[in-house]
Amino acid sequence: MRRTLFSYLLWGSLCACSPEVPFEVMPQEEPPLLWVDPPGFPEAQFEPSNPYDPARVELGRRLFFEPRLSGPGTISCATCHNPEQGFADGLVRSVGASGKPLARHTPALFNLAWVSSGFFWDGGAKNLESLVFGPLTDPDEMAGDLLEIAAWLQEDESYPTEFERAFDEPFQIGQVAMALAQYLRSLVSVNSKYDQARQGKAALSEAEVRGLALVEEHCSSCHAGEQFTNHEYKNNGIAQTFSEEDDGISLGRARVTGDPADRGKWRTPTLRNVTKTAPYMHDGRFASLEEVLEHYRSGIQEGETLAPELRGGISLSPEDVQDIVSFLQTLSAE
Amino acid sequence: MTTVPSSLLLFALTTACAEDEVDRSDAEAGSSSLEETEQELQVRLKELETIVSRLGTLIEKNERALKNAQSESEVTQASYAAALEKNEKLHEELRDAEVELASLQATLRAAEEELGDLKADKQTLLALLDSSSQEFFGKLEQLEDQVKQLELRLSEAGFPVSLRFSHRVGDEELVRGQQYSVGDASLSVKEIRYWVSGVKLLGVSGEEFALPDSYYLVEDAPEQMTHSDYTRPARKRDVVTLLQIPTGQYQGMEFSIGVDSLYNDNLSLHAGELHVLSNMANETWMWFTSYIFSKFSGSYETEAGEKVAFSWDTGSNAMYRSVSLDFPEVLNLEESGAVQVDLNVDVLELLAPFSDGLPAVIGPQKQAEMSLLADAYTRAFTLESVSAP
Repeated sequence: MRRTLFSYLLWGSLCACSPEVPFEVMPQEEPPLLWVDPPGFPEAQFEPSNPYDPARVELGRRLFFEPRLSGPGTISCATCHNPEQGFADGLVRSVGASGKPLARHTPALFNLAWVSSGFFWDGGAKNLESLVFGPLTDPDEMAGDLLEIAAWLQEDESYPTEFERAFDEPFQIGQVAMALAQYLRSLVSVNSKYDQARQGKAALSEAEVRGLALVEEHCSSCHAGEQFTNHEYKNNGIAQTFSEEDDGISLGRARVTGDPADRGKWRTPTLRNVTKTAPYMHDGRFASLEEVLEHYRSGIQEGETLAPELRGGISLSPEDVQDIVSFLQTLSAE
Repeated sequence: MTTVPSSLLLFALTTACAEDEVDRSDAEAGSSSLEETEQELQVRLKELETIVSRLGTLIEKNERALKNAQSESEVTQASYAAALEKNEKLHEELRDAEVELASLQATLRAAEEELGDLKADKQTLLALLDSSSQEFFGKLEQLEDQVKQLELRLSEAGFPVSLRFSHRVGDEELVRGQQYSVGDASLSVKEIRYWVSGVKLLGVSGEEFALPDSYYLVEDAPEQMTHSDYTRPARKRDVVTLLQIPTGQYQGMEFSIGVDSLYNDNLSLHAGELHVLSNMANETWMWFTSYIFSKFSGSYETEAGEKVAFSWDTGSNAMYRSVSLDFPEVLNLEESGAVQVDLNVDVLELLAPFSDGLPAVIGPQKQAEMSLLADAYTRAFTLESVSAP
């Protein structure tokens, strides 16, 4: 399997490949030799300690689908982050090793290479390299034991060779996280009708054009830019009280910063592929986009940390809601 | 030419005889013309006499010429002979020269052959010299390298400085699980663990020597279960040996409790003893992206008999604290040899900020308490002595 320079040139054309995948993601069968940002995207964020390396992407992909990383040996990252469902699971709250529903909804994984403000719904992971340890070891998620993982990975028939190929130094457990981080960065969604329209290859309908204008008018202070998110943490008025229980898992961004002013603030998710990543909000409370828009129209709960733009809600007519949903459909890769 | 050719002379005589025979036959045939014939004969005779006289003259001339020629020839012959002789001599000289030349050529050839041999010898010698000198210089270089490396190692290894962390409860040595009286209350410590990192030695002229990758886990901890089949055995680690300190004069040292943000913000990195397998990173803290900087747990019974099982963690970048300690006197690391620095760590200092009541849990959701505890760690360390081990 020789990687070729040619492969990365096919970025756009090879993406929409598998019909079972609801939207296209990189990598292709062979990760490109060099990282190239898709047109219109900013520069991808790589940790200096873990620069792009196709061998690490390949190893990361294998680890992503590896159930032996979990305590029971049956759950891989892909169990909840299922590639066929946009690297999410479509459930309100996923269930892991303990059988207990998790506190939050599984987020979709794509275009993570352009996120620099932390990961998880509250940004507890400072980078992709540090992200994996929580889900991997949490008893309610994969319940993996790092000592055990380190032991069997080094005794495995084929993993040691792959680690050696991907890293020039002796095995250490952090390499598992580095390889997974490389795989996560390689998940790219870029080829939506919206993208095609921007490139002049498709035309938006009148409803879609009206929807785009409405999104720009009412949503773009948070859902900004080509990724349709400012990557910030905002209170969008879905709650007024925030429990400190369970290590503050319901506090929002304040769990991480310890700052009461960050209570109830959650990551602004991208709107790309939004029609295919239901349910919505950090806890999956809204099943449809119509419900989400109804919340912004009529359901905003006031509070000290509420995003000021949302005070009093957003005034939208039923036609506006229709148009916005039409437009949002154009953000899903085909 | 001075000689008359003999063929011409013979022609003249033969012609004269033939004319005389014709005249005689005419006289026999007719008598009338006798007188005429006589006259004619007389004329012929005179002509013949003239011819003879001319011939005589010619002969005389010829003879003279011949004589001249002979004498000339003699002279010529003499000079020829001389020339021959000279030629002979020249030939002889030439032969001699040729012989000499041949011998010279032979000598030359011999010399050339000798030169060739010498050149070959020289080549061989040069090659020998070259390889042996290469070998020699190679060896020399290797030896110099070895010397350099040894010197480097010597200078790097320097003398080891051991840090000995003696955990104490006030004046008493801390023994895990043992009850200690604290005023009217009592304390029992189950576990104490913390990262000592960023160790620096402070030179007398203000320069600092920072030990690279210095992350050490100091602990006195019981057996610990993980949530698989793995059990971490009880472990007491109280001595940290610092190597590769340059010789020099030092007036003190500095270290931090916890992990600097560069490494604390990326759990995939590893350095020194730092990695996520040390049981100083659990799922609670990893959801934050931080190592556990310190763990301190045990039980505390107040004089009223109220018992608190406490479990205190610090972690996150904001809890990173440094401790600076002066040596009692300047440490000259060259003269001193190996050195042990004895540090006392009084756990009563860790309790001090919470005299109004000990919290059962200090952790990520208790920022204020965590901060008080992190500060208390810096006061817990005192330098007891610097001595030879």
